[in-house]
Amino acid sequence: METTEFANQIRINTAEMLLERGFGHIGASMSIVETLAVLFNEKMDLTKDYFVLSKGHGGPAYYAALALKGYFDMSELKTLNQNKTILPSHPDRLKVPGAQVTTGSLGQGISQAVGIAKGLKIKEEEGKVYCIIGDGELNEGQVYEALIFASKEKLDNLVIFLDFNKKQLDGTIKQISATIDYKLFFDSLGLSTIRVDGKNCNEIKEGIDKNVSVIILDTIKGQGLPYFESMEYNHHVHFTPELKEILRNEIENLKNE
Amino acid sequence: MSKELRVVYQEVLSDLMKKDKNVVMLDADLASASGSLKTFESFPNQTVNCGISEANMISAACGMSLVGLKPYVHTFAPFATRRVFDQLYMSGAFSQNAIHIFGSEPGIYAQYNGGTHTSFEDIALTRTLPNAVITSICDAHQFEFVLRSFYKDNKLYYTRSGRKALPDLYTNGTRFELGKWMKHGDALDQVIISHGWMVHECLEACKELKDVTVIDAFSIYPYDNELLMKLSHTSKIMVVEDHNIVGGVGELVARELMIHGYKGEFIHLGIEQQVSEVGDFEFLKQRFGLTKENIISLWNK
Repeated sequence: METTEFANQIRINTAEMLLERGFGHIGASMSIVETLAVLFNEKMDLTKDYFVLSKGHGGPAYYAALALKGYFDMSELKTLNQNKTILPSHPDRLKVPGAQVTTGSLGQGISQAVGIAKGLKIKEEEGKVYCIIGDGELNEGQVYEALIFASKEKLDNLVIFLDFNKKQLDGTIKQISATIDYKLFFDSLGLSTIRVDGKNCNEIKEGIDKNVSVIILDTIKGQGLPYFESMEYNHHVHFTPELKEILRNEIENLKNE
Repeated sequence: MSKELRVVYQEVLSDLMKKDKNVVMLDADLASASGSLKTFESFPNQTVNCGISEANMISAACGMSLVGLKPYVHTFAPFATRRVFDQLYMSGAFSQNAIHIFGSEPGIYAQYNGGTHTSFEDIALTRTLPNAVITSICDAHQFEFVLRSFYKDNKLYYTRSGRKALPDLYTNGTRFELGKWMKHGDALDQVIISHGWMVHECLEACKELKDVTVIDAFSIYPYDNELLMKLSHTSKIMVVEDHNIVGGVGELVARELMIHGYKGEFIHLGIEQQVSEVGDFEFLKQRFGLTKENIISLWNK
């Protein structure tokens, strides 16, 4: 399957699973769809590489990618956050088939990721580590700890994606936390950094080929679902009957693309 | 002359690291404190100094365990527990990642580093971690046992221990077992339960008490449930610890005894919800009543 089609499939299936459950982290799941597609459909060697969704609340999209790659049956997706589910809001490596790292408490995923990357170097094993962090997550001091570790240990087998979707939960990044020049920030820590259009699979893929440490993804929270892109508070949404109707229509539009 | 516990740490880990390239040692800029600088020099590929980033050290070590390494991390007890409790819980216990954490200089061992570097509650915190192994060390042989036990095991370990030497209570031939406390006597009608350096203080106190057996409760989780059931028929039990009275071995023992219908006397000597301060070991012992004299006095009251 072509990567843009794979991305579309991730988006459709993620939207459907959230619709089925009636609520979920729609904003954060949508903004990482293209990145997940590039990684899982093209760049990752699934026998050697590690993927860490440090912004764990993007779980639903990750699950869609895993299901599409055959880690479990597509029918499991509708069990998202149901009682006794193997698909909880935040990836649990003990429950989700294919999930390698448990995340959810922000800042800890990327720390585990730098540990994996360092571990692979100690063992002299090939294998790359791909880790997605959120811009809200970057508020957490532990992220900084992990970044300076990555820089000092020269972890060139690690690629960090910053999902710069410009919002966190209570508001925009500008409103809630500091305005940071991210490229300057990462560069100053000794981590080579580029910016790419996080909606463009090709740009993401070419970005990875540049072998930098950090890729800043310019994205929109709720990416790919026009109504939800424009929704002010779209971190975690409970779908009213009206919103459900809107979501259904947007899923239809995606299917017709 | 018994071995310094920090030397035990360095020697046992060096031995493990020599035999197995997957054993790694991490520190948070306190390698000189744990006696590990030599180890860092000898094993550059199996040691990692994480700098003063304890949260990252814990989670990164958990990441290392995911690729098949056996990580041993060290920092002072409060920074290994209080400071990084969510990391211990989420990256460690919840994710079922196996790392060994050596929390050094617990309780009044902090001495001149004072109250800011003192942990009276590390056991209270770590005892709540699901599926973890929690121990408190009173001699070199016991420390070696726990360090080697982690190597063969598959769980998160938290080990609280001082760095300086303590008199040998055990030998090379002593058989330790997690979940089995060490009895220093056969009679079980009157017992004093302790752990860590205070086991020695209790043994001293018992020289002046009649028919009292000291029990070294070094294995805090798993604890000795079988022995506690036997002790529920005892007439007098005292628990002594360099730890907060809240959440330590005293509460653990009291809970078990209650469940098993204990009707005897119970005395608990520990830190009564206080913060510590700067001082040498003798001063702090007196300050908090963690002395042989106080043990005897409380026992005889």
